[in-house]
Amino acid sequence: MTTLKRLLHNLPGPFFPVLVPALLTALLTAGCGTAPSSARDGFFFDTVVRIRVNSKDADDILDQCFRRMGEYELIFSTENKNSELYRVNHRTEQTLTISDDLAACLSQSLDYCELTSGRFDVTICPVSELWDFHAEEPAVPPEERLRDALSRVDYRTVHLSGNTLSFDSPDTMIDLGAAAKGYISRELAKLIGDLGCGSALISLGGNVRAVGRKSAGKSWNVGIQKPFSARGELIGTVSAEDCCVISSGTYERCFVSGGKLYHHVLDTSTGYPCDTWTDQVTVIGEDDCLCDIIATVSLIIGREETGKLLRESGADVSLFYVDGDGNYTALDMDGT
Amino acid sequence: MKKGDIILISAILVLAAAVLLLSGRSADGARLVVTVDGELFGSYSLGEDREIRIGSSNICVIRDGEVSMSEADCPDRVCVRSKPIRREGETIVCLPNRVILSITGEDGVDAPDAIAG
Repeated sequence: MTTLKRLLHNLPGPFFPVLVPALLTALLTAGCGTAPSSARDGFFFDTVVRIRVNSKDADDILDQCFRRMGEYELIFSTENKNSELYRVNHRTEQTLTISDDLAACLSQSLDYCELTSGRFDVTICPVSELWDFHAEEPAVPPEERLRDALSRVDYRTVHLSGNTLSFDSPDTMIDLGAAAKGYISRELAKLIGDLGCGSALISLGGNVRAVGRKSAGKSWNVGIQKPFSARGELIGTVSAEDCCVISSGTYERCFVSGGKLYHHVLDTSTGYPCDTWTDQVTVIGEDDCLCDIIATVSLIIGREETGKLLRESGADVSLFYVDGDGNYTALDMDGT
Repeated sequence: MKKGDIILISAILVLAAAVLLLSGRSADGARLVVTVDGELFGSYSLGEDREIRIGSSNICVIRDGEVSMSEADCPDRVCVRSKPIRREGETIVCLPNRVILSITGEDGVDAPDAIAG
């Protein structure tokens, strides 16, 4: 500051009016392209959420995002007794009117139940409830109970028309665990865009959504977790710009019992974890909800079926998987 | 060119350079930020080796500019098995105890901004 004062002091009078605007321009140009960056963490849906926003209104945008996230928790949580989905699952009437958010997410999920003929099934809830992966000593549920629960699993007994949801059977329950996080990150990205911000990064329990770029010439850099390795150990990174990067694998929510790995992706015909073709798939695309669903669906149905499904459904996504040698490979859409 | 012009141009150049330098880097480099249940617990320089007790549930360690979770009473111990962090944007999360360690400050050259999976 001393130098500045001295410079100003030494300047001949007439130059002063020129100098001030010139300095202001210099200051403004220097700040351009590096909009203030602000990040906030929170806990929702039994997972950690981090949103980073590059904007002069970062605090306000983050406030609105976290408020919205609280609202979504009160819609999609299967455990929160005050949530809409909990009320749906513990209903007394078999026909209900549900919110737009729940209807949209459920509708997209039901499409994939249909496309996979029930190998992916949103009514898996009674079975998934028996598997407590967070327990201090997780245990394999008794076969009899799994069989009982399986008899309640059938997406064809759920009918959604607009906002009207009806059930054929009173003990059918819905689990949107494979779609809700994707739905939420997609809607948060929209919200951030609507608030006039073009640069943000959402990380919702391992689902990553990039809004715009990190800075003028730089995409967001998203690491892919290496399966069965220390958190933060990466198998690769991808550049992301206005897309989501969603990884799902058998290394998350799992336990080992009797030398066997039990993971959270369940087989709708047995109630046990399904035999997956890879430890992890990563789906990249513009529709987070779709990508989230496809990540789980792909683990269940296998490589060839995934290729076929993506071709036939015309889903605009790219899918990567970890092959037997631990390499990160793009799925050939021919399914070969 | 008059003497005044030269002074004017120099002044602008010096100030612009100063502004660029100041806005481009933080005063004391990368820092560890610890939060518990979303509330700030503390912020520490990575330059000084130390052990930080986070309540009665977790202990983290700063050593050679890297941060790791050395102890935790959570059942899954994912945080203790996490890779040490040192670059801006990297995090270690202890979900059961709602503890987050994150690095802020200097922007890492090619550190990932987030991790999927």
